[in-house]
Amino acid sequence: MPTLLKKYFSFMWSLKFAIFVLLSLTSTLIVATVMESQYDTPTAQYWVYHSAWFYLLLTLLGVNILSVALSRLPWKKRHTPFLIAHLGILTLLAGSYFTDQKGLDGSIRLTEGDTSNTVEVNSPQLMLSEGNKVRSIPMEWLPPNAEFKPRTFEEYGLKIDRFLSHADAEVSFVPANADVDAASAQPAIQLKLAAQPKNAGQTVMRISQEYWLWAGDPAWRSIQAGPARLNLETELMPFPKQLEKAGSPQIKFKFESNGDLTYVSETSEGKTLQGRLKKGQIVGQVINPGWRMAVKLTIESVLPRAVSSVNYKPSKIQYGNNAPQSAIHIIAGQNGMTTSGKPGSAEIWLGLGDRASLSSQGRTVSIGYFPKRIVLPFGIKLHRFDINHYEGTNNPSEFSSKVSVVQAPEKGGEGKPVTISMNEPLTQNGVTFYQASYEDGQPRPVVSIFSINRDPGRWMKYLGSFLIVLGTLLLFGDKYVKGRSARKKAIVNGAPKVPTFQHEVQL
Amino acid sequence: MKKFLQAFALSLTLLTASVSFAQTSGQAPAQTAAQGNERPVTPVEPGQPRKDWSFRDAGLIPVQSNGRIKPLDTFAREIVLFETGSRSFEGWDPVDLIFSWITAPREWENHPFIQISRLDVKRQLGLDEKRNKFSPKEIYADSFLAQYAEGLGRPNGATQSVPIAVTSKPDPRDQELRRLVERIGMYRGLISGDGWPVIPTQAPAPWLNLNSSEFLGKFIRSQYAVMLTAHLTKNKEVFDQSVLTTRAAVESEIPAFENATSRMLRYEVIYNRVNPFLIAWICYLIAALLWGAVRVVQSQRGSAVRKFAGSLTAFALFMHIAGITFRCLIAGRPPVTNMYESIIWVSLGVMIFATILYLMHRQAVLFAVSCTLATLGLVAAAAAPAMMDPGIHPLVPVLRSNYWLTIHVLTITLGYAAFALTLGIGNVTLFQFFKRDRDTLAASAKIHGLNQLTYRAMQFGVVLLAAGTILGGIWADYSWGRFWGWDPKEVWALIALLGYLVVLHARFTGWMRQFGFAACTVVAFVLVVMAWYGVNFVLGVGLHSYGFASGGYGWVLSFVLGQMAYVLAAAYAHFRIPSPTVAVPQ
Repeated sequence: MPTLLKKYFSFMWSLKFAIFVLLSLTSTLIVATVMESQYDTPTAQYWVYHSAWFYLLLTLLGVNILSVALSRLPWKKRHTPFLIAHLGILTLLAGSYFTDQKGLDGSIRLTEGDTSNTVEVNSPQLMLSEGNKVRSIPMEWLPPNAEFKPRTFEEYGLKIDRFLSHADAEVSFVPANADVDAASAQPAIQLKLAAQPKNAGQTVMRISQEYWLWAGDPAWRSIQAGPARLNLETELMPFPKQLEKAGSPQIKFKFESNGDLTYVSETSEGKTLQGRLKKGQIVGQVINPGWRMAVKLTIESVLPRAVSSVNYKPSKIQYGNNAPQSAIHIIAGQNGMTTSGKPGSAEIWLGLGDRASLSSQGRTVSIGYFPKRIVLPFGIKLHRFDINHYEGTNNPSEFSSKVSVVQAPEKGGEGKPVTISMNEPLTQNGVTFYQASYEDGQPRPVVSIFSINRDPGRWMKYLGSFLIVLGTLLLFGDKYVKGRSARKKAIVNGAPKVPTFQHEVQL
Repeated sequence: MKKFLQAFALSLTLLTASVSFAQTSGQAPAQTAAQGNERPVTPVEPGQPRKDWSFRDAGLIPVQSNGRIKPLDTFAREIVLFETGSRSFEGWDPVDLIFSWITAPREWENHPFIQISRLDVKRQLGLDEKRNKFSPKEIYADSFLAQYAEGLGRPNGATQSVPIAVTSKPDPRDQELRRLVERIGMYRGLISGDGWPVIPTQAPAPWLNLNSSEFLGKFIRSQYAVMLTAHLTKNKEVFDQSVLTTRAAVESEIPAFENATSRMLRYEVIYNRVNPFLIAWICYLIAALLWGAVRVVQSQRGSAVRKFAGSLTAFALFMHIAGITFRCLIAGRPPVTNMYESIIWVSLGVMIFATILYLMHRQAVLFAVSCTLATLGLVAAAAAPAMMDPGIHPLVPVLRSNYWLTIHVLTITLGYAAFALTLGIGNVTLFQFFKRDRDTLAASAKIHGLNQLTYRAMQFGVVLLAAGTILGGIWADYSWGRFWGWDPKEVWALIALLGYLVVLHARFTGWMRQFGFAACTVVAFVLVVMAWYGVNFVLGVGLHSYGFASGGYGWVLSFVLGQMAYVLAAAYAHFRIPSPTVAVPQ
């Protein structure tokens, strides 16, 4: 053996190195769990468990164990327990790697009566489709503090320049382009509501909040602002004569045909106030609706023809289960494709699950930002979801789904119904369906959630586990049987004259 | 002392008997006690437990709470624990106490019994910071709490049962406030009759309470009224009789009430009243002292002290096992689904390993150590009911009837038990390094013997922890479809395993001498503490729980720091202070 290789091996199989690796692994794991507790699971996975250097650490452990095993060559009978245990660890590590690379771990959400063959995997992807050509580009989810490297797609003239790990959608209204039809471009006003609640003559706090009213969508035509209701109506879409319900503060704005803005305000005492703002002098006007808490409404802006526009901004909640989904920002138009079809450039925000289309001169590209999906060669149909509760409580005691596998007609079509419950999965074509959870509903839940799994490394992991336990048992048991009689003398009351310090078994 | 107690009990009995006689004769017994808000003509003294009464039969009346049918005894115990924060309140039998609450609520209104232990909560509510218990009136009057309760939006309305462990872990102060609102809600439910789920219905519907007006429960309601009236008027004879009729009435109404159910209820009341773990730890404690003495005086095999210590240990072990067996029978599942159960199980595990090793090596130190550990474990479980819920509650679906789960948790906790034993012996070993004669051959041999025992126990631990962790993977694979997901609990089991593997490998290379091995044994147990307690109580809560160190956190931290200090002190004694005798080269 060349000297260098010998040196390398003598280092790799040294226990010093083994202990170094074990200690590094231990401290890494400690840091990771603390990180997970302080932030959340995806963050810890990104920085540690799924990171390249963590794989390197595990590889080092594997190499070390392999070297130690090889260093005992030629193997003798007494090496058997030691070899079994260490081979077990190697098998387990290899199996885990195999699962990681080739396995499938996703979920399917099914409502009773529905059939699905699409597994959703917990990582985003970008779908670019033009005609029949669909390209899916895997995207890596990044935690809030990780740096995002912009990505460019030349053939579509697209650039993804920003990534938000957890984004809140923010709807605002912008002036519509001239070519937008009249039905979509509707008037909008932005109001600032300021109030000063008083308690025994003292101002307790100041409230200031901005609201948009937009005639293009019923949800935006009537907005609840604290105890008050803000409404907007147009000639085409008038409200009923009677405002919603008497006794609560409300105001109704209306764009007249000449461009003036009129309003009718009602107080909780039942008083009515009216007013008219002249066209061109609307912005900046302060209206006193006569409500309690000295409420004042300021008209911040007026758009006679407005369309909605969705922006995403970093959510206040950046960690944990309540943090919203991710979003990406795309700059388009570098080769002439825009959202409007007119030459120029465009910026688009896409939240997870959103889709937008770009077009120019007869060419249309659709961009979607979706969770990654995998299509199975067969479908699964949910017949019924059942749940039982512990008596007298709302705590579920067990739940199960009655499903059947739906194959292509030539392969036999729909199969027999099977029940999947907690700890009772269903395996089909190597893919296993587990009952994961359900969505609550009234009068009873009808949406079942399955976790879908394919694990080609499973047998290796089981084999490895078995070998580890067997090896360890043999290792300790062997020592014990051999050393028992000698040690018994040493331990029984009344100490021996000379203590023995040598180790019981030399490998 | 004993005579005095007997005399005292007798005089008290006479006193109560005379009082109750006076009351029953002077008052119409037809009072509608279930209403609870009618003040009796002669006010009954509150805070006077009915000492000479037996509430054993009353405790056997079935009620439905927390998703199962349980004896009234358990129901009352859970409520008393939840309201007062301790298992027994001022010497009251729990059943007696909740009967007294509903029959004489006005007398209880000004009596402080509702627990608020967090200082920040008391401060926020503007309550006396020195006290831990407050009267309902004080709490009703608190405007902040009223606002807070309103803000909660009445999540469950009047709570009619003890809430099962909270799943999400928000701010601990907020949690305590919520619990306080629940306590008040439950107390109100109890005194109004809403909180008494006593009238059986077809499962899984909730049972009707004493306030319900349906025809179905008319007879049971009237029986309860008679029973509670007798309780209020201290008419023991009528009470005892009405308890039996009430019980029979409820049992006859339960659909599919079988002998087996009745037997389980009886078992549960026996389990509650005998309190086997209390007897067990007292015996363990005495045994631990005796075994220590055996070791110190080098008592030979077959000596009287040794025999007595042995039989006491056996008896304690019997009570311990009996307690766990009863618990399993009542719950119908293995006893390791929460901290309380696992700490009791691990204490038993320590005793099992000590017994195995004792049979091999006949070392008294094993029992001295294991009995001490078992005592500590059982005392800790009994002392912190707020942190470790002793109640028997139904499981979440994923934990139900799962073969792998059972095997996995039992194995892994047995591993913890073996490590706990190494911790105990390790501490004894470290103590040897403080001794004056620590460098003599004899001392060295003694330390070597102790380290051999530690090593042996550690082998048990490593095998079981490795197997248990892997079995956990198999369970996770079987249940969720993944073998390993880097979940904190999994990871910490692995960390503990790796830690012990480091110790074993370092010992193998000879890097560790006698002191090093003993010290590392003790230090490594911190990893087990983290895997066992820390993941659930520290990591699970999130970072700001550090600031609001709750009882459990403080105790565990002091334990860990105390151990570290002890190791450092031993290291100092070993390495720094020159030994008075001639050193032996190692």
